[in-house]
Order: sequence, then C-alpha cells, then structure tokens
Amino acid sequence: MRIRAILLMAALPVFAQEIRMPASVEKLASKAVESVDVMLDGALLQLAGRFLSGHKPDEAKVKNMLDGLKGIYVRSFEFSQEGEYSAEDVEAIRSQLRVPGWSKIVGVVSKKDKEHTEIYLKTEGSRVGGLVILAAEPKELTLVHINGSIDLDKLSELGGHFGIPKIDVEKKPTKD
Amino acid sequence: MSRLDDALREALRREDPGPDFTRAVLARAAAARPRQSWWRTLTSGFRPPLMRWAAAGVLACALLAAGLEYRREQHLRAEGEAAKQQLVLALRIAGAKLHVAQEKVFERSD
Repeated sequence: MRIRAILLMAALPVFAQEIRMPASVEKLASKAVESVDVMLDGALLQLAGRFLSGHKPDEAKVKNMLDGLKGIYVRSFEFSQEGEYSAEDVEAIRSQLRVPGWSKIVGVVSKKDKEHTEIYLKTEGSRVGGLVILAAEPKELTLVHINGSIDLDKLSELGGHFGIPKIDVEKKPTKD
Repeated sequence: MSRLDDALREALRREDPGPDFTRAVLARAAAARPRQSWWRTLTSGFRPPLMRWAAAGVLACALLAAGLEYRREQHLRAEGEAAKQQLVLALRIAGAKLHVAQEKVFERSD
C-alpha cells in the first residue's frame, strides 16, 4: 500500500504542470513590482480557441497553433532592483529540466547585460512535446512552459502579430 | 255570429300542457348555448383557477430557465475572452524572449 502511494506521488508531476517556479522564488512575488501568472491548461486552451476568430488572420494563426497543445504556463517577475533572486533560485528551476526527454538547445549568456536565456525542448520520439524558456535578467525572471506538440514553424508565423516580435526561424547566421 | 264566437273561444281556450312539456322546453333552452369564439373554446380548459396558477407556474419556470441559461452563456463568454487575452499575453512573452535569444545568437555568429 505504501509502495503504491509512493509510486502514485512520483507519477503525479507527469499529469500536473511539470515545470514550476520554486517555492523560494514564488515567495518573491510580494516584492515584484509586476508579476505575470498565466496558467492555461487543456480545457482553458480549448475555451480560448473557441473565442478566436477563424476569419481574422492573426487569430486564425493562433487558433491553428493550439492543436496539440496541452498547456501554456508563464510565470514572470519584474523587480524594482537587482539581486532580488539568487543563482540558486535559477538553478532550482534548471534542475527540473535535467530529466530524460528535456534537452537544452539554446543557452545565451550576456555578461555585459547580466542576462541569461536558455531554451529547452522536450522530445517524444521524433516530435517536440514541450518548450521551456528560462530568462534571467537583473530585474526580471521569466519562465515560459509550453506543454504539448509544438510546431515551431507555426510559432514563428505568429511573429509580427499581437505585439509578438518577428522570429525568423529560417534565418541562417552568416559569417563575413 | 255567436257560433263563430263560440268556435274561436273554443279554439283559443287555454289548455295546460302538463309538466312534461315544461320540462322539455327548459331542457331545450339549456342545451341551446350561445356559440363560443375559438379563443374561448381553446382557453376554456384554463378557466378553473388551479389551471391558471399551473400555467403561470410553468411560464415562470420557463422564464427562469431562459434567464439562467443566458447568465451561463454570459459567464462562459467572459471566461473565454479572459482565457483568450491570457493566451495572447503568454505568446507575446514567449515570442519576446525567443526573439531576444535569437538576436543574441545571431550577434555571436556575426
């Protein structure tokens, strides 16, 4: 009975939101001048999709992208001064992504701007099953988790709409 | 002339028709009801007070159900619009962070 309870609790994160802000960072919410908390699970995504117009090109693109998505979660804090969160807090988030299936595809560190951005992809066979963006800036900490089958081409098509910067997935870096 | 008078008097003499005649006339009078309009015929079943109250109750329940359904739809619409705004916000933030990462990657590559 005890073993069954342990196995059940171990399985729970599979069904719940996988990647979370650590409790130590959540406590900083009271110090944040601005915080964003978006939790859209499958049911809410479906509901949002119903209110997206298929006739408006912008909304039709988003609606098209929702197929296969199981959830979108965003947690972001903006602070009035630097140093409100520690490297350990960021490491606590990062450690959740050191599990089978997740792999870091982009890691950008800017010592000048003191910014650290990492992008992780979850692969399920040949398909993408999740995307995590972890952006740590001096006065801002952001975690974006998109759970489900993501079509990166469709995601790039959203650029230029809804205030989303245009992302050029096809652009190849050139060296002169 | 007197014979004529007698004959007329005899013919016009009042005779009692008897109780059966009176009963028959009254019965025929009761049966000959005035003609009703179609509306009165249709609503005749609701004349008794109990039926009127039942009809009013059914109408009130129908109105209440319609009102509740309207409120439910309004609530669902508000939830849906809020979810849509949250979705756009989430995509905007994700897009912005991806854009920043992409710019930095291409900066390094140049």
